[in-house]
Amino acid sequence: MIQTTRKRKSIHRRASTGRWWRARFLYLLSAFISALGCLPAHGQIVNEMEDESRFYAESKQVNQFFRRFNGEEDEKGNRYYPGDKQYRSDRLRRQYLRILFDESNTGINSTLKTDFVRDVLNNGEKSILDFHGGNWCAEVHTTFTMNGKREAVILFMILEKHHLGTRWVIQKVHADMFEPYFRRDTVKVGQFLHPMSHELDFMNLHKAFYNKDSIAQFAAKSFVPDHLSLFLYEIKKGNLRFQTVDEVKFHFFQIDGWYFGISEFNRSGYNTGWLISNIVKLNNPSEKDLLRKFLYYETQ
Amino acid sequence: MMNVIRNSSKVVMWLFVLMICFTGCKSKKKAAEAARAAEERARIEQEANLRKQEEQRKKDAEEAARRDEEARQREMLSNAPKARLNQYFESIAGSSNVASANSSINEALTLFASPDAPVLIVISEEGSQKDYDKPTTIRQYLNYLKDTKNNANTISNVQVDSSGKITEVELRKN
Amino acid sequence: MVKASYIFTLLLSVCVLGSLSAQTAEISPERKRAIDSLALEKVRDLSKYISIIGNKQTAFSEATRVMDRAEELFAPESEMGVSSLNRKEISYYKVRQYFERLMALNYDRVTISWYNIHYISDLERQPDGRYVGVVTIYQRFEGTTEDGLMKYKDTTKKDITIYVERKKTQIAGRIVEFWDVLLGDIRVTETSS
Repeated sequence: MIQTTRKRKSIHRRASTGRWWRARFLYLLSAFISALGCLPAHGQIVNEMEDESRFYAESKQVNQFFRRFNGEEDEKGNRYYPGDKQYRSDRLRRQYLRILFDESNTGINSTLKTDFVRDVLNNGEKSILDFHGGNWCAEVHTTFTMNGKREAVILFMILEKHHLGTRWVIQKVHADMFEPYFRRDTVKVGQFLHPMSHELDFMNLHKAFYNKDSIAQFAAKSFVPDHLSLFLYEIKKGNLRFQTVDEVKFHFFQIDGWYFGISEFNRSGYNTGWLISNIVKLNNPSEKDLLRKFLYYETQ
Repeated sequence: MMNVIRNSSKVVMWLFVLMICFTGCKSKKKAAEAARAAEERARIEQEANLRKQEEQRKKDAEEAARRDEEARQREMLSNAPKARLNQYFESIAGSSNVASANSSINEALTLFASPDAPVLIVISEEGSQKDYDKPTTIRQYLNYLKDTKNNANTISNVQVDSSGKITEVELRKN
Repeated sequence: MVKASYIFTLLLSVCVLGSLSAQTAEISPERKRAIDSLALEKVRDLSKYISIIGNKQTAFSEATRVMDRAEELFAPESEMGVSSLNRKEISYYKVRQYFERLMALNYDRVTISWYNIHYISDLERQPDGRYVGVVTIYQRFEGTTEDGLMKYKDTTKKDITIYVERKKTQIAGRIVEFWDVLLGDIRVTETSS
């Protein structure tokens, strides 16, 4: 009991110490940057130190998240290149990794963070995030109108090489509005086309298609509806119209043995911008596969 | 008789010695004279060479001075519009109102062969390779200075035509 | 015979790889720095133009002329996507439309200023060969009516697309190569205070 209490106190102390170092680093980072000048701008310049330091601390772009994660830029956002002393240095990466988590997420405990940071730094070059390295995607929550009615549509997007460069493409779509059309009960016997239907030129298809509500029962067990095809079809028909992008998140499977997701946090304070909002340790490939299916709303 | 012969041989011997000496002296003299002559010739030649070298040096110096003078004149000629243009840039960018800026723009344009005279802005240079911003015209550039008040570029080169009008400007980003 | 075909295949591969690498050539750090500086200047020019357009003291004709200049900074079909803390849904405006709305704001005094901070992303290559990047800046807006009763202020984050392309033109009979930097879509988000 005493040992458990002692252990708990020790963990708590370590956690507090960790938080103290993070806060100190953030403060020093912002104070250092605020003390330095930026390139002179023309037009009126706002001279509010606190706001400025907040903006410096913010991971303003996904690009900046990559650079900070990899230890490829300084406090002012100036790029380091191979040959620069600080380029991808462990010390710099450790400092940045500490501040790249969403601090408000109590689901990400300090042990998980510590393990993640340790694994990332131990793996060195293998744990460098690569913009063109695949194994990461965007989850874009949008609103469309379907025949005038507002509907949520989720687009899963990936980078794809094309001609001289790269582009984002829609890999998958998920829309709750399409789900009811493919609902079927695979357990009970239900309606079916009997095994000798072929001898009658499948004339019983006439009865099968009579009731459109049960039509999904006549598809093979292996059938998985593809919302992307429906999505493209409905847009082409003019039934589905884009309204707005509501939210964007990103999923990363690039770090061996780990999944993490990032989201944008627009709030006061220094823990803002693109931050790790979710992290899972993957102990084997089947866990990775399971998680991927879950993220993609794949039921099979 | 014997004495005479003895004496005569002595005399001959002495004559012979004298002759040798004399000849030696003579040839020495000749040699000396020849040497002196050669020396003299060498000296004359050396003096002539020195004179030639001196003349050549004078010529080269005159030529260099002439070239320097020409370059200085050219620079003066090109600096004059360059300096004036720089003044206009400062005046336009620092104008407190649109009317005075426009007036400065119209004055500045009189330095040019055409208001569409090209303006090239060097953004970086690696060896002999120059990287430029999108080329513009002097009229557009002067209006840009008026609008943005951004006179951050330095005039690195102006080209003028025979009548002293500017035909092209090269600026360099600081 | 086999040897010759092997050598031919090898030579062909080298040629293909060589041309591929030329197509995907990276911009050197020094050049990137120069282009960044150029892009930032265009963004500052835009900021300056916006300040002039939004300033109530600017004459209509002058504001219109400056709007023309501002539009020249942009690639065709560029849009502003604006959202606020109260209204998360993004409103889309053509660049010209955005400027006209700014000019028509119902305040007697408008102050637009910029935080002395910027972030420039890496340049990535598009399928058409152009390079694309994003510059992030922060703007402070304050609008007051003459009687001082109505006052509005906000701080917005602006993510500005930049397109960079190597082009050639002829000047006085010689070919001049230059970097053409144009602005593109801009995402405007109100930041939390």
